[in-house]
Amino acid sequence: MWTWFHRLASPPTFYRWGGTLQWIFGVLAVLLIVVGTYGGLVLAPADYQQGDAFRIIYVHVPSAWLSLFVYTSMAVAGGVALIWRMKLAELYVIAAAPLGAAFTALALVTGMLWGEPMWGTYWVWDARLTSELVLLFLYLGVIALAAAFEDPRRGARAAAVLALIGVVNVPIIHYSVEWWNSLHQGATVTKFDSPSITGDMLWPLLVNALGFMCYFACLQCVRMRALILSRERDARWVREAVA
Amino acid sequence: MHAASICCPPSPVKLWIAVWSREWQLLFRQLQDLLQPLVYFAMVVMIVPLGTDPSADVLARLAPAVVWMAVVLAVVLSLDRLFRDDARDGTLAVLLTAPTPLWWVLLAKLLAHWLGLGLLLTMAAPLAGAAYGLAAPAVGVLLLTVLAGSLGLMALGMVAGALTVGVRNGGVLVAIILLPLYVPLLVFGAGAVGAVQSGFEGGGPVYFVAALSVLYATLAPPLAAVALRLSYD
Repeated sequence: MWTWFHRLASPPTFYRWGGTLQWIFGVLAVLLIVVGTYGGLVLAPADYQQGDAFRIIYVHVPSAWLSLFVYTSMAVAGGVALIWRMKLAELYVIAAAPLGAAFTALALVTGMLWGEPMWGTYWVWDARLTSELVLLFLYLGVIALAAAFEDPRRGARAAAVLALIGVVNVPIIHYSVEWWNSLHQGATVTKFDSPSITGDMLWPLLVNALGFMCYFACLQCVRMRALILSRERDARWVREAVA
Repeated sequence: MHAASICCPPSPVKLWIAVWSREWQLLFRQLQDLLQPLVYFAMVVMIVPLGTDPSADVLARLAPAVVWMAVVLAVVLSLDRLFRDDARDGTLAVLLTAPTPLWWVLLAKLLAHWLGLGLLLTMAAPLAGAAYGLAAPAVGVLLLTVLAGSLGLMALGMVAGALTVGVRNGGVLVAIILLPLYVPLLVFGAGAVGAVQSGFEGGGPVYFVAALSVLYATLAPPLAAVALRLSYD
């Protein structure tokens, strides 16, 4: 029953269908992000309180969602890599970590740019901001660990273990930081409870989130294919594929 | 070697006690491994007031964070001895090939380490807190959180140490991996002391530290076993 799956997930086969996949996701990403950004920057009405400054959410929120999504997917792939010793899942972890770190950094930077006019400061020790920063450091730990091994397969599997530990810890970190924040500061201006966002503001956000997801999938295919080529550079199929 | 010990593996309980007492003896034979983290703890505690205004109210406000941070740093510094020597002299290879489950052996290592360094830090932390002018109830809570929390710190540390045992210069890497994972323990540990200081009930966060420590100490041995098998050869 699973043979088709294993065949599909073998590096040479993935190299071939991943090549098609990256184009599909790439085109989808461009279309969705263009539509979503147009909807967000032009069609959506300005916010009655924040004016046009709120429009940064069309980049900020999808990046923040993806920062969590990518980490969770890394942990799932890490579990698969450890249990079934699947090469492709190991490559997924290694390939996704820098992308996830980039989305996390993007979410932090856009949040800071929005925070300056809205809150009057780039950074506050708010629960969400702080746990996002911790998430960035979790990503950096995975990247550093994977790079520390001379044998890349071993590095990938170590990174998979760390991703699994991290994903257990992410909710605990989030709630502990929330508790810490409420103890030290009380309710602050930073509480971003959007009272049921209207439809014409919401749809560009969802379209952009899908677009970002496709963009991640596209880059992930590109990176995984490049990793396959470098890992299997001595195999004959690689020489035939590249030649 | 005795013939019986070749034919049958020792009972798990006997082996557990053997590993535990070996670790325990090593702690005192290699006293520098135990004392260096402790001295480091004292120096971190000593150096912070030099960098700020050492008046009583400032220090008392800083105390929970500084003492807890010093505990965290001392634990990170001590993790090297968990596997490094065993890897060098071949003990680890024996444990990896032993018929006894590896996590069982690692649990003995973890508890011995906690009873050694963990208890020393538990004794040192209230002294540091008192030197910062913490009131008696806050010092008591500090003692409890360090006692319970150091087990969790060491459990997570054991996994990180196992992951990096096959890596050259694993020390910095261990710190980079661990500090974000230590956030919840630090928040609740230092937070409990802070809560008592500002007149709240400290019980909740103390229980939380204990619960987290039990969770980590339960999950860590099997995870560290997986990590050792893949990073050490």
